[in-house]
Amino acid sequence: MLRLAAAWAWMRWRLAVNSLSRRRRNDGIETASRILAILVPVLFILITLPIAAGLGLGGLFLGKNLFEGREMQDTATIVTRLVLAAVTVAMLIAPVLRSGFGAGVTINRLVLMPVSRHALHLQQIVSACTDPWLLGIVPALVLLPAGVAASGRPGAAGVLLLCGALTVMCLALIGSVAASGAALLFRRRQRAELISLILILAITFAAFLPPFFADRAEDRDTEVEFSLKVTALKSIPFWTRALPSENYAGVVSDLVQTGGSRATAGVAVLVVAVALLYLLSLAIFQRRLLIPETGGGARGSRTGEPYWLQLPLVSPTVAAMGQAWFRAYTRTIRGKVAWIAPPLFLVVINLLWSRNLMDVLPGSMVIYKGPMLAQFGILLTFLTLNPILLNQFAVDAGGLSASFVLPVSRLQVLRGKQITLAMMAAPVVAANIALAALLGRDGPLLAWITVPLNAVAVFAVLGIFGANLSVLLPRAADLNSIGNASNPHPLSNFVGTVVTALLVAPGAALGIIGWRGLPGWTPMALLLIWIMLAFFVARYLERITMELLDKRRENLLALARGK
Amino acid sequence: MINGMDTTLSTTDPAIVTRALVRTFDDFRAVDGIDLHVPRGSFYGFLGPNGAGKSTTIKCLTGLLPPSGGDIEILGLDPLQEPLAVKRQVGVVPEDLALIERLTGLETLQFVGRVYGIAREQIRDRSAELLTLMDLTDAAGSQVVDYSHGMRKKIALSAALLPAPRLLFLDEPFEGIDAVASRQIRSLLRSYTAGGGTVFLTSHILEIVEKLSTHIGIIHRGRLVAQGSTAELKTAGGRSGTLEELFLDRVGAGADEDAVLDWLS
Repeated sequence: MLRLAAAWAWMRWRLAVNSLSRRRRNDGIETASRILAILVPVLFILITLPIAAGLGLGGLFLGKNLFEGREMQDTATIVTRLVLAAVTVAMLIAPVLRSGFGAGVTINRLVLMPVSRHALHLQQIVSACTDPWLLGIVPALVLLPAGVAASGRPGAAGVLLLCGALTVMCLALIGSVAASGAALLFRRRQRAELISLILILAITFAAFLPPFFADRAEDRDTEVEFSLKVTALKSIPFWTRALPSENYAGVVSDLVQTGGSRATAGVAVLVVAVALLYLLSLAIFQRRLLIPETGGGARGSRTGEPYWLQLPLVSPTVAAMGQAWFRAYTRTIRGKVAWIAPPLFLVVINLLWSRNLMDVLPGSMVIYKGPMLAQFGILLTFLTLNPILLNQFAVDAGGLSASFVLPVSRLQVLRGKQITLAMMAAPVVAANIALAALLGRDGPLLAWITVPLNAVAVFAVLGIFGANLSVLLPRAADLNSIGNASNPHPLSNFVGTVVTALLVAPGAALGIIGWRGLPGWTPMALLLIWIMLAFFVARYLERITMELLDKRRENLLALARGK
Repeated sequence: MINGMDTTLSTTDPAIVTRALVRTFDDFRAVDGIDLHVPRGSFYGFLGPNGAGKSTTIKCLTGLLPPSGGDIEILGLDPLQEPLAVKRQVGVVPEDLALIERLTGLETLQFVGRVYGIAREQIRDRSAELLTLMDLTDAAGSQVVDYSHGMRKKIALSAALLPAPRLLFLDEPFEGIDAVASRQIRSLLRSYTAGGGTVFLTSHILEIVEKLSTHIGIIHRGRLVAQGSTAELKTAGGRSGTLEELFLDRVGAGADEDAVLDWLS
């Protein structure tokens, strides 16, 4: 087992080091890009370390004062419940986000080696133990008992330390169950894609839940409300003790209140939970190893003649490329999300608008709801399209080689990409405008006319800007993954998001508030100037993209081949 | 005119000529001054051990990699000066197959046909024939991502053949192909060269290359160590052996034949 763990750790280390080393086909930009990509997890660790240290010191302080009064005990209960609940959720979700069709390659390679399945399973649990979420709470789970011991109660400290170790084991096993379960669910491509689509929408919309559950402004009595919530968090219902996180908090509370008898029962529950979770985890892990990943099977799927549009203003070659990529992208998870999510977001934002949004706006400020929602729809459309748009030359794999061996010029390739992205964005922007018109039938006609014009201006610049970022900072991405694997390069993602917001803002501002205090034609004239400027900038950026494509073609092709 | 292409070039001109072709990666010379001469209408087998420079050469010839030095002439044209004119007359099955995985097999063929500007009816007819020949008719509506390795090879080859190119570059086309399909493809390629088409093929399966090739080039450590007609090369120096013997002789692999790993026995 130790041999396997050492070999595994060495492999991960070499992979990290090798990813930084310069290869024959890497240029300086690519090496810098790889280092930047590695910096993101390093930054994550640098942020996590002080949080873990803070939690540890907090644990030490709470431990030392745990028996000093009711208030301290309640604080300990609330903090441990909240922190451990958050870690439990993270341990459940993180492995699912990391998995996806094709994610089981490494484990399949290890299965071929003379390593027992039990050892592989243990290795998976150890891997779960090194999850940053879990590592982040270990100092607190060690220093809380240390604080209790320092206050002169070594027995209680021992119980808490044991309880902490069992809780860590439970959480690691939950991570292992989630990882194997996700791998089992994702072993068929079509099912994996459907589940991924549902998950990515569910996780995204979960971010909107807190404002929904917040009370309306007029019903709000902050002090009473907060006091009720605190009271609810202090008492742990019996039925939630089945959860390791709740059980740990329960043991902390029991140690203070009953002096140990109920706490021992809590520890026993954790021991049983560890045993049950281990058996469940082993069963799912072994089943996962027995069933390989499969595609959908290609036979028996004859269909009718595919339909190809003759697009206006572009050559048949560019139209063919645009439509081919359009089909390819819209069949991926990210492509589907780019179509489905923005209108759904808009409905949610409309609901939030009617509940809370008006509270934060100054009372004197009158906003037309419909045009504002529609402008917001533009932002949402491009933000959800950005994983493709900002990485447009690196999401095709072999398709990129095709565009270089077929008789098409680089300009045609670039324009084909822009046609694809326009075909993806235009229906979503149109749907958002229609939806916004249904949700808020206000505002002058000119405010509505601004919306599609702004979308055109934004796309003109963003499409080509994304092409530049994609050539400069390409990242091999799987558009069917729901986790980080489908994202563009972190720096590209950050810059692209900021630029998207900045590009939407001027036109949106003119559309939403530009009609006040100005003659009717002024905002429209300003918008037309903005569009002309956007096309001028786009034209300039197009030339830069062509030069970059020439210089970085080899790197892009190497990336397409996974090198 | 074939598919709108100019075919006035003399049929005796070579299909591919390179002069001192060099491709370096930093200080490593992957292709080290090779002079290829591929006659028109020939079946040219380009052989070499792993890492010899075969794929790099084919990438330079197909425009995927710019050469570091030397000249290339494809069908009488300079691919660096007139890349589109060359590509219009050439079909390629590269190492990574160059497939858009989320298109169906039929869409892949239609996409290629449209890029080459072939008439819609012709695309439909040729696609149907190619899919039948490659036994892919049942899978025509499936996305390439669901294809097996052999099916991917077949659809990539179909896409290369669809525009009826005058020169075909095939990088390991028989690897992963079943015996039935392999036989069909061999027969197809033979009739293609008989009709004046040229095939430039790399393969590790020497038996197939020996059966098909009219001409052979052997590359070793970036240098061309043999080139000529298959018959001439096999009988050169009074030799009457097989292609395998010629190959091993030219790449200097004979000395390792008796190599033994003591710990393995």
